[in-house]
Amino acid sequence: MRSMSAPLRLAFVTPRYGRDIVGGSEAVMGEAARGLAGRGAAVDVLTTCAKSHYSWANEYPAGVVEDAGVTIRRFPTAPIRSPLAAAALERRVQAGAALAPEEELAWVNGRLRVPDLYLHLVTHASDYDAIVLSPYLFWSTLYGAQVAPERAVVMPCLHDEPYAWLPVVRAALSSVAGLWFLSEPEHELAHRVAPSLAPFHRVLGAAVEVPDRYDPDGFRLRHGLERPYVLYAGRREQGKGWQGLLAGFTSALLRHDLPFDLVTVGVGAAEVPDGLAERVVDLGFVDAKELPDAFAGASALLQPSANESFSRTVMEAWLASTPVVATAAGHVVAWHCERSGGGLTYVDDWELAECLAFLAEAPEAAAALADRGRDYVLANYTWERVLDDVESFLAAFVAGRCR
Amino acid sequence: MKVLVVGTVPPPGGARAGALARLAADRLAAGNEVFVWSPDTRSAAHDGGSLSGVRLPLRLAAASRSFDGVVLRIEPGLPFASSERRVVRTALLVMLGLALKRFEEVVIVLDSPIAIPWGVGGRATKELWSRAHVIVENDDDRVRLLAVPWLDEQRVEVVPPRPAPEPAPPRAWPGPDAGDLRGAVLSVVRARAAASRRLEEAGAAFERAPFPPERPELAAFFEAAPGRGGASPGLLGGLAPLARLGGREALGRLRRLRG
Repeated sequence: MRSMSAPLRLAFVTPRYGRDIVGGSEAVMGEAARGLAGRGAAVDVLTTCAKSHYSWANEYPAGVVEDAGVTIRRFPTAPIRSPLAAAALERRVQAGAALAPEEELAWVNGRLRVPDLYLHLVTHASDYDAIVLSPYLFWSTLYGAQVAPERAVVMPCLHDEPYAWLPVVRAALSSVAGLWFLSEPEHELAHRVAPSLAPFHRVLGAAVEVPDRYDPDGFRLRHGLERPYVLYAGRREQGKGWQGLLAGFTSALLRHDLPFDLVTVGVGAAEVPDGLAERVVDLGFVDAKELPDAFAGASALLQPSANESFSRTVMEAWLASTPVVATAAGHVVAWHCERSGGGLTYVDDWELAECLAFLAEAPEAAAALADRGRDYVLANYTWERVLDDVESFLAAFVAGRCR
Repeated sequence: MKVLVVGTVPPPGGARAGALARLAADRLAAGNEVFVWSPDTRSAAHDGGSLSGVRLPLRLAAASRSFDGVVLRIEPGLPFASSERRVVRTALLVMLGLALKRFEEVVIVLDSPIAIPWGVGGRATKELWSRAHVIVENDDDRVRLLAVPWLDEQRVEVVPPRPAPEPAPPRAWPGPDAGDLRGAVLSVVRARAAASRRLEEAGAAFERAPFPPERPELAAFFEAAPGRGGASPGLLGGLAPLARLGGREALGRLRRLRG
């Protein structure tokens, strides 16, 4: 490992933090924070007491704890002032309606507010060489970035969705001092969203831990999985393509004699229709320690989400030498699939069905694809590699700010 | 020769509809003028609309002034409903036979099982079979028909349903050592998906529309303009509007007309 010449003082601002939190941005922030702390940086994580991104209820105790070399400062979320009005604004944003500036701010304040975290930054921003904030559409980022924008590096985790095009988001991407992108497609999107993008930005990517070993047989045994399965790992939500995947899997079963069950792990209600109950297995929340085994035991990982800014599940599947089948509507994942030569993409249910038929009928070719994916992850997305780039980026950022 | 083809033709109707369409196409290719009526308004037919019950013989009789020949497929609902009463069946068979007599050439295509309630025999069928060239699907149906005393053996032909064309075998998946493996796999995925999509979308696009149409005002879109093989003017043309009514209502109006 490279050691830094002078320890950086960093704050990572994220709406949720914890080993049992499921979320891509949260995972990247947590792993980056602990990784940089491991390399000698003084790292504070400024976060909320919330576990659920649905309710934002305070479940962790407020206060300060240490974890893996990182100082975690938790602040309580404030109650949402007007849930009905917030829901109405949310619907308008999702419909792509233009909001007046005060409506935009009302929308930002309609889901999550953490005034105590903001006040901490007001007092302590100058204690940090850089303040990394993520993801883009939460109060903690949009408000937090404005306390000391000259020290702020936003990791937006941008998706091409209605939220991204709000002027308040464009203002944030333009006004902070630095931007950390996870992929080239995200970078390109940011340029479209905010033509005056903060000039100091780089595609740094993210990374995943490489497991020492896998136990796919143990996973199958523990969970009673007797048939081959394809895996969906993630939040079971419309926005992540879960319902569409259920429909597509059903169509595939009708078109081909497939041997697979669909196993799903993650949070959110799976809502499996009765007619599919024998072919869809909902394991719910699975401990992070078991997830590598879930990936290793699968015949493929299915990624139906168009809203991914990195997709760690794709990387984890490839690391486990498991093929990946992803929606072509997700530009970032499609980019990874093409760059790696290791993932298949589908545009509709027909192509999904043929991809699943390929997995069933040509397992050796499928394994060869997965191997290419694994090589790609090991070459590009280990923390060893990414933290080198992050350190040099932050060092240059701080040096540029101090001139 | 001007030929009227009556029966369901594609997109709905499956293989038998396809067979009737091919028969119509063969007549066209032979230099005839062909006009198609289908009871299913989703069909690619010249005219459509209700052809069940008394409507069919009345419309055929009217059309006989414009057409030399008729090819009639007797299918479920054309002209018989699934559980037609005997007296209605008898009347319809007689009326159909009389209407068909007015054509120079008559071809009757029978599905298997034959969709004539109470069997193909009976005196009511005499006019129906007397001049028709009959096409059946198999030898069993031919034997049944030949039991009818007034049916000439020479005029019953067995034409088995043409089997659906064999689909092209799906392209094979590349092996694990293919150069651009991902590209090669996706190429096969897309080709196979395109083939499935064409078949399913083509059918679904037409079969999504309800039949019969749920909006009566749309029925007019599926009826021919005058002079294009629909009901011709004159006495029988005057009866054509009655033909669109149900049988009972039509009889009721006739009784009222008679006083």
